[in-house]
Amino acid sequence: MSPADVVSGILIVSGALLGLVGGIGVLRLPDVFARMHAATKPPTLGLVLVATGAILRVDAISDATLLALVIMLQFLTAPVGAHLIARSAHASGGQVDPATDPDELAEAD
Amino acid sequence: MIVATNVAFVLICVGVLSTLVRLVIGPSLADRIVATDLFLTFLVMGSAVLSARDGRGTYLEVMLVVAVVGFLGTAIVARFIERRGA
Amino acid sequence: MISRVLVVAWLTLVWVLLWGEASIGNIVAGCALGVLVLAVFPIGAEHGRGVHPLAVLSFGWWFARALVVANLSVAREVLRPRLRLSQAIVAVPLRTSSPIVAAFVANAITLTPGTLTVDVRPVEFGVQEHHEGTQPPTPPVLFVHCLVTHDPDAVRADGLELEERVVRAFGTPADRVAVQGPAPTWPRTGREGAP
Repeated sequence: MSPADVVSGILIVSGALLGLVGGIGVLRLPDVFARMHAATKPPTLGLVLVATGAILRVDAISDATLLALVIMLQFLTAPVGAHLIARSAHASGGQVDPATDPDELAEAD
Repeated sequence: MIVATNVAFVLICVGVLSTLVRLVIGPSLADRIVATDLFLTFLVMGSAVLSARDGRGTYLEVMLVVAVVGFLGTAIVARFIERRGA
Repeated sequence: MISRVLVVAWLTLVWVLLWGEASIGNIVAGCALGVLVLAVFPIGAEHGRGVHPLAVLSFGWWFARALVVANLSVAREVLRPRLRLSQAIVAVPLRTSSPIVAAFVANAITLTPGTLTVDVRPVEFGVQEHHEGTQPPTPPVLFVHCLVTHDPDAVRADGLELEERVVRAFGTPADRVAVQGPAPTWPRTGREGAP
């Protein structure tokens, strides 16, 4: 096993661990906003780590560039998707954990 | 290397199972779309691990399309929730 | 003009990366498609003015570090045996009114774990060109959902610091002037932030 394989293995396992944290968070947390925190951020970083590990292992350059593109795409789309859902969930009301205090957005309307 | 990818696959499978549970439980549409988005992220992660295991990027184009379409779907459902309520 | 050339170059790069090999055919096709995309979705004259490459790099580096550190803290919160969350939605009034800066700040806030941008009020801001002599556009207010809130004012201060970094990297000269101003207070006297 070459050093690149070891590094790649470490990256992949840590990325998968972060993804698992996202999965656990989606199950455990009390309301939809908290679940969004867990579902977008650790998995995004996890995907970046896994893709970086995969770049080290892939043979063809074209595959490595595709992985780099996926990393870029994930960074661009994940936060925007989370924000869109958060906004619509708040606007349609009712999914806010009563313990959310202060809720300045509801006050501002 | 094989060990690492096996471990990663197991972790990803557990994660996918938890998203499926949330997908069924809900309670609102927003929860379900968050779970779906995470599921698609796991899908992309899984194909990256697969390409690391084989050294060949067999499913990478599929992965790119899944990522794009997943985001598109999330945005569309968000619009729907805004109009019709979750 | 230079910004359009840069956009076409960027689109060509993405096209070449998709195909994986930098052959002449790919590059030409990339340029052609880039020009076509730009023709269908033109970018405004304001776009890209004020970008400082060095500041962009330093912002990117700072952001990468913050991302890794904060992701680990969110992982710790999620994995805690008994959850100790104190969620809140905090209003963060910004100082600049350009849509690009607000978009970057909102994205950066969402990517750093613990905070998530929920909404922006007023909904349309900075869209009209600022003409001489008219009222400057009012800066938007970002509403940020925090997972663990210790102090709303600390969240506001963090948001303003983030805005300053983004402006240093991407801001137009008007933004750079605006960001030197005093930190806005919340709630605003009189109205509550609704348009």
